[in-house]
Amino acid sequence: MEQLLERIAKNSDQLAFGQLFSYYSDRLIYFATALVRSREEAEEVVADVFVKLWQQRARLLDIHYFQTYLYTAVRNTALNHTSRSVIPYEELEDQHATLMPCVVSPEESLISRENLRQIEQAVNELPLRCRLIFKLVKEDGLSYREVAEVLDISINTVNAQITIALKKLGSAIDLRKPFRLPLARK
Amino acid sequence: MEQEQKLWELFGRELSGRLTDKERLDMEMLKKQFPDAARQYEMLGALQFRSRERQSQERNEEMLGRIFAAAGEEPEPAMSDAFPEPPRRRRLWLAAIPLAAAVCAGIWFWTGQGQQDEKGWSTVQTRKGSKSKLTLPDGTEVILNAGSSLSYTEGFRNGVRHVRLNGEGYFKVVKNAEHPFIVTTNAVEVRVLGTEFNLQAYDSESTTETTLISGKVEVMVKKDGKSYMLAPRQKLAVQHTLPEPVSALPATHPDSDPGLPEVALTAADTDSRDSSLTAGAWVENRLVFNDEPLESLARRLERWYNVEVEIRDDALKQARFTGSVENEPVDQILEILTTIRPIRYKISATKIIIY
Repeated sequence: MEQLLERIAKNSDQLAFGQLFSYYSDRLIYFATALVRSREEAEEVVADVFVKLWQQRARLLDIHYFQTYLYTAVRNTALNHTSRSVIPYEELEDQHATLMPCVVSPEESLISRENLRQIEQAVNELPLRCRLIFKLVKEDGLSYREVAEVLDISINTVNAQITIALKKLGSAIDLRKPFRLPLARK
Repeated sequence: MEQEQKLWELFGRELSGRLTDKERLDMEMLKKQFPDAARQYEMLGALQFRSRERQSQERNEEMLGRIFAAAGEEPEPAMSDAFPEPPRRRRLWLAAIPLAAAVCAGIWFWTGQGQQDEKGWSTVQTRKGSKSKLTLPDGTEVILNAGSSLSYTEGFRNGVRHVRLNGEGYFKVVKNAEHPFIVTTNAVEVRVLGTEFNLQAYDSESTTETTLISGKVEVMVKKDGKSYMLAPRQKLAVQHTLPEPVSALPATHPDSDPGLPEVALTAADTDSRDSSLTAGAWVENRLVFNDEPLESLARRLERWYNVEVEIRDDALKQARFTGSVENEPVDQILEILTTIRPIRYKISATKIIIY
């Protein structure tokens, strides 16, 4: 990432900028969708942020916490779009992307398909704000501090929301459901 | 129940990395008390979460186009390559650059101020370790090998089709009878009417090789002004002496073999396995070497993998290798070379030493 930013700032490297964009576009659009009314509007917000980023590329290396900066820029731009001063998560209907749990390594295939389905359902039944916070931590890899800063809430709130999410998802796992046994090694 | 709630809170704090020693002890105790919750938390930890809906590549590129347009930037000639995900880390970073991932990993554009010289040439450049595919304003496709640069004029759209190449390029030229396509290098000028050919013209190499895949090209050797018409599967090799470094080295350059004619028109080299032409093999990430001295093979590896290769034994430099390797990381290629002829090598972070 450091390298990409350097190539953009110093060489005006359009390809590097393209890579930066494709790395972040999905998650930022999702994030923006939670803050504005439609996906189209969310795309506009994200595009606006990247236009500014490109125009001010020479100063890119002065930004210390790039990821926080990026999410905050999306939040502020989204708020400007809606001309609201608070993020009205609860009143929004959630018509967008759902989160899907997936298994990362073979030993974890112990989790049965049925359990995966139940976890998925539980994620998408979380209140929008809770799900957004959970997603920022678990999918986008933001720290609690980053989430707090980006959403302008306290770390304790982040903590509480994550606890709610963990507990709900955990209880969705039925421990009596038989696990798929690991395949015998040939 | 309250105690179980407390356990989930501790799990949350653990994720945030803000668990004190005391809390960790509490957590371990509570885990014993609530083994089911502990097991559920463990299973959640084994999961990753992804959004199901992903932006398509096309949509991304379209958005990117809009972004550049809004930023007041002239969009570049269409880049046809997708942006790959960064390759996963492996044991050795040198080995971690399989060629497929190296394709289109890096390309530099210069347009506008500082990127265009006073005569209006725009330059596209690939760095070592990366290749790139580009489409010129007339629709001609060029795949640029690692460490190459291609310049073209602003007037390109208006019919003038003139490019300059330093390095290696594979050209698929769009037919246009009125406007010949001309590639200039240091040693040759290639005139084309619509064809596919490979042109290897690195400043740092002692030959410039034009290999015709299909169609027709005319190659003019700048040194004597003579022209040659090439038929498909023919190769024209032009020898040239490299500019000597200022520090006086022995008069003969190791590459200048006096036995070779300066200009040679021959049948193009083919891969013995399937008689495909070796000249375009790099486009498909195949490294084909045909009775090639290790010294020149090493220079190719340097460009392909962006590493430095040093051969410590002079006799070894002239040792010739024949083979064909596809999509292998550089350590695998060295391994393969040792099976052809016993060589030893060391790989460090930035350098390969063969001895």
